[in-house]
Parts: sequence; C-alpha cells; structure tokens
Amino acid sequence: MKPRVQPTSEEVTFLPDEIIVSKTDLKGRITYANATFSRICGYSRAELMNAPHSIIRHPDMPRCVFKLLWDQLGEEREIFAYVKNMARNGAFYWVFAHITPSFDNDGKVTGYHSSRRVPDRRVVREVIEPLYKELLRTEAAHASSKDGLVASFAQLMNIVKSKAASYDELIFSL
Amino acid sequence: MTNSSSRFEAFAPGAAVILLLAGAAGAVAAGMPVVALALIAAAAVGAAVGLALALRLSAAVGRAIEVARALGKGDFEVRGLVFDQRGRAGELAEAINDMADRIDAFVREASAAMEAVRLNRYYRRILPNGMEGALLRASTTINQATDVIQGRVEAFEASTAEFGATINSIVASLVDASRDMGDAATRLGQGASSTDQRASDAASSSSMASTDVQRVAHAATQLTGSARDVGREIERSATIARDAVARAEETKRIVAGLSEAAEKIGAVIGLIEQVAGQTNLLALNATIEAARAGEAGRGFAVVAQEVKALASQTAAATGEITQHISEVQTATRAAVGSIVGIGGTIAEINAITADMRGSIEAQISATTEIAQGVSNASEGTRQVSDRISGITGIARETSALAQSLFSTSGALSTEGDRLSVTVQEFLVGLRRGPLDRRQSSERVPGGHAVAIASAKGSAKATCVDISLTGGRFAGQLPPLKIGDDIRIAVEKGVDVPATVRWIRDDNVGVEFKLAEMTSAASDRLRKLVSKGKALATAA
Repeated sequence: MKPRVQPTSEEVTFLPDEIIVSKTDLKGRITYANATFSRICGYSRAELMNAPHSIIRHPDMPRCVFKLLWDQLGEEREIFAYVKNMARNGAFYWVFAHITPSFDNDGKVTGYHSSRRVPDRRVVREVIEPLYKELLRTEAAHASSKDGLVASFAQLMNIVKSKAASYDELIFSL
Repeated sequence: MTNSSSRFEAFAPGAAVILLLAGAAGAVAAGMPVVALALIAAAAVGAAVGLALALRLSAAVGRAIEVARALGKGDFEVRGLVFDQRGRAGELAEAINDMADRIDAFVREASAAMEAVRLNRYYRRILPNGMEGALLRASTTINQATDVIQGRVEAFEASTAEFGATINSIVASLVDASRDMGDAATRLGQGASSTDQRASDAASSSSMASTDVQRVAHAATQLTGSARDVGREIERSATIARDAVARAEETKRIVAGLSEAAEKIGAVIGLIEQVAGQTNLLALNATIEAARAGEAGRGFAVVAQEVKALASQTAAATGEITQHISEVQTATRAAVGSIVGIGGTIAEINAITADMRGSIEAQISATTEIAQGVSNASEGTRQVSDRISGITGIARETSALAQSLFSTSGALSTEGDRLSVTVQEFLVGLRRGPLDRRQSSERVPGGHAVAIASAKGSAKATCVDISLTGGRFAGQLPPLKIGDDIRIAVEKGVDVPATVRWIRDDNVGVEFKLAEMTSAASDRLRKLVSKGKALATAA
C-alpha cells in the first residue's frame, strides 16, 4: 500500500535523544517500527508493518544514494546516510540513518535494521541538500532512468573519491 | 497514561466487583433480591472486564518476557509486535521495545565501531544521540579508546612513513653512492692498470736508460783514465823536454867552450906559426951560416935543412889545423845555432805541453765531472727505476683495491636493494597490520581465471584472493611495476580498473579503482566476493 502523497514544505522534527527505529526483511519490507517512527511519519504501526520502506521515500532523494545503500548492505557493511523522508501528510523530515544488516546465529543476514537520529542541520543545509540536488539533476538529465542512475552514481563516487578515502570516511568527516 | 490512571486501570474492575458484590450482599440482607441480582449481574460484568484486562496484561507480560528472554540471549531482532494497546499493557510493550531498540542501537554501534577499528578504520565513532546513562558512558569510553588508538596509529603511521622515507632515501643514497663508488672503482682500476702499464713502460725505458747511463759512466770513467794517461804522458814529455832543454843548454855551453878552446887553439896555432916562421928564418940563417962555414957547416946545413923542413911541415900542419879549427868553429857555430833552434823548439814543445796539460787537466776535470754526473744520473735512473717499480707495485695494489672496491660496491648496492626490499616488505607488513586502511579488506579465496591488461601487454592470470577493494593475482604477468594502471577482465566485456600496489615474484597485488568501475563490473565483483565468502564459510 503506497498512497500517492504530494510533498509539502512542512518539516517535522524529533528530539536528539529519540531514535527512529525500523527493521526490514531482506527485501526491505518493514518488520518492526518503533513508536517514534510511527509518530514522526504519521503512519500507524499496522500500516507500516510489511509495507516497503520506500513508503516514506521523498522525491528529493537521489536514487544513487539508495543504490549505494543497498550495494553496501549487500556487502554486509553498515552504512550511514543523510536521508530526507516524507511523512504521510507530505511533510518532510531529515534523518541521519545508520543501517546495518541483522544476522542469525549462523552469521546469515536475516534482514536490516535502521536507527535514525536527528541530523546535523548545518551538514544537511551546507553539504547534503546541494549535493542531492546536483545528483537529482544528473538523474533527471538522462532519458533512461537506468542511465541516469549510472551517471549520478559515478558522480557521487567521484565526489567521494575527490574528498576522502571512502564514502564512510567522508560521511564521518562532515 | 499516568501512574494514577494505570493504577485505576488495575484497581477499578476489582474494586467495582467488590463494591457491587458488597452492594448485592446488602441488597440480599435488605430483602431486595432484584437489586441484589442486578448488582450481581453488574459485578459479573465487572469481573469479566477485569478478567479481560488481566488476560490482556498477562499476554503483554508474556510478550515482554519473550522479548526480555531473547534480549538476554543476545537476540535483538525480537520485538513486541502488538502495537497501540491502551493502558499498562501498551506501556509495557513500548517500554520493552524501546529498551530493546536502544540496547540494539548501542550493540550495533559499538560492534560496528570496534569492527571498524579491527579493519583499521579509525574515523568510525559511536553516535551518542539516543544513548543515555551507562550506554552513553560506554559509548564515550569506546569513542575515547578509538581516539587513543587512532592517535597512536597515526603517530605510528607517521613514524613508519618517515622511517620508510628515511630508509628509502638512505638506500637511494647508498645505491647511488655504491654506483658512484663502483664507477670510481672501475675508473680507478682502469687508471691503475694504465699506470701499471705506463710504469712498466717507464721501468723498461728507465732500465734501458740506466744501462745506457751505466755504459756512458763506464766510458766516461775510461775516458777519464785515458785522459789521465794522456796527462801523465804529457807530463813525461814535458819532463823530457825540460831535460832536453837543459841538455841543449849544457851542449850549447860545451859547444861554446869548444869554440873558445878552438879560439885558444887558433891563438896557439898563431904562436906555433910565429915559432915555425921564426924557426924557418932561423933555419934559413943557419943554412946561410952553414954555407959560409962550408964543409964544417955541411952537417949543420943538413940539420938546418931539416929544421926548415920541419918548420915548413909545422906551418903546413898549423895551416891544416887552422882550417880544421875554422871548420870546427863553423861546425860549432852551426851546432850552437842548431842547439839554440832545438832549445826554442823544445821550449815551444814545453809551452805547448804546458798548454796541453792545462787542456788535459780541464779535460780530466770535465770527464771527472761527466763521470760524476753520469754516476749521479745513474743513481737517479736507479732511483727512478726503484720508484717506478714502487709505482708499479702501488698500481697493482690499487688495481686489486679497485677490484675489491668494485665488488664491495656491488655488494653494497645489492645490500641496499635488499634493505630496500626488506624495509618495503616490513612496511607492507606493518600496513597490513594496524595501518591497513583498505576498505572491506576482508579477503576471500578466488580461483577464477582473469586476463590482466596493462599498457605493455596482457596476460592470463589466476585470482588468488579478492576483496571488494582489491585482489591478488598470480600467473605469467605482463611487465608491470608498482603504480601501473591495469584492467582486469573477469569475463568478456566486464573489466575492473585497478592500480598495481605491490609485486612479489609472480604475484601482484592490486587496488580496484572503485570510482571508475562500471556498475556491471561492480556487481560482478560483489558476486565474486560473496561467492568466495560462501565457499570460505562452507570450507
């Protein structure tokens, strides 16, 4: 279930000592959402359960960021990302997401876990927003969405490469 | 949901039932069975509500116990998934879930931070937001520990980098110096050998010169001897000449005496002639007288005649003598003249001899000097010879030294190279330890065939191991050097750009250029790594 939501310019915030927590299965379907998540995004837990995590995806997010995210999770590596999410009513909220794979006792990945915290507003304003706009422009500049993704991903990797040894290191240096 | 409302929730149904039952008892006592029944019915409903609430709470407690047990076993995936309940049950579920979430967040953060340290990534810190109390303190402690480790590793890295640079520069200087030394040794050797050659030439020349000089010295000595002989002969001639002069003088004197005697004889002869004339006159007178005396005088006349003959004979003899004396005088004068001539000649000879003696003496002195000079020269050439042979010896020694220097410099260069390699390996070893900042450095076994292409050619190789950021390949490699950009073809049309990081024997270590990788290559690489990982896990 993914209702068509029009994004608005309203911003929702949460407190620094709060964590938005969700767990998904390997396909990204939500298997757990905490109360904070439900409160901020405006969907009830019942609505969130089994919904794809993209239910809160905001159109301002470049797709290459999610590609990077899934690539890195595919390598069983944690990832940090600044993500702009969209609430049920179209409002947006910025999070600093920390996504990690969950393992069973045999070390097999059983799903993913996301802890989202209040992001540094300065980083969002000065670095992330302009960067994501740029990447989004690149994605939009290609006729085929696949080509756009390849181009924006390469662009992102080049930016990373020019500034730090890795994406992770770059994120932590911000 | 406040505490009082929670408490109300717990107490209300029970209290209501008790009150209703008490009311019912009162109603029975008061003889109002209908009221009592109604109150009992209400109490029954209250009891049912209470029972429902108790069941709900019990279920919530059961779920809470389940989650708490899972958490206790380290399973952070379990949550109470019955949401939005009212009352204590909902509160309990949310509290349990929130506790699980925060501990889960801490454990994930802490293990990720520690994993990062394990992989030598020191930028990773635990995010303190959402952590409270002991979790926050533990996070702070872990972050501080990471800070300290990072500081130490950075200091270590700086030291090792400096060490590496220093060693490399030392080795470079060493190799340079030993190459220079080798060059110098080669030149020295060439110089020494040429010196040796020249010294040998000089020695043979000097030896020849020495022989010549010796011959000259010998000749000069002989010359001096001859000159001395000549001098002695001349001295003897001079003495003889002086004797001759003396004898000529004496002869002259004798001859002068002879001339004087002849003069005196001439005077005697004149006297004799006078006597003979007078005798003749007397004889004549005697004859005349004898003639006058006739016969008495005949005998006398004969005697007078005899005397007259004697006088004539005497006159004739004196004439003859005078002539002889005159001849003698002429001869004497001639002899004196000759003697004077001889004396002059001898004097001349004497003078010439004296001159000659001077010349000879000069000659002797000159030849002596020559002999001395030649002897000096001989000594000189001998010394030169000695020195040359010394030089030859030194040149040979130098040559030997140069040879040893050359091999030393070669050994030095080899040692320098070895040092460089050792230090390089040492540093590589170090970097593989705490300094290895490669991402996803977890390597898994490879085994698949690839083609490695560099600017200088391409070759087939086998992947030894691989990670998401690099790999090790072995095989007949194309000519590669560290820093080369290569492409590794995993399959047709999919190749991974990489940079050569190290080369050992026929193994090459490469770092993948993640930014230049196509998504196809990136996907393929991920598949290879996860396949390798699965294989490694299975093994």
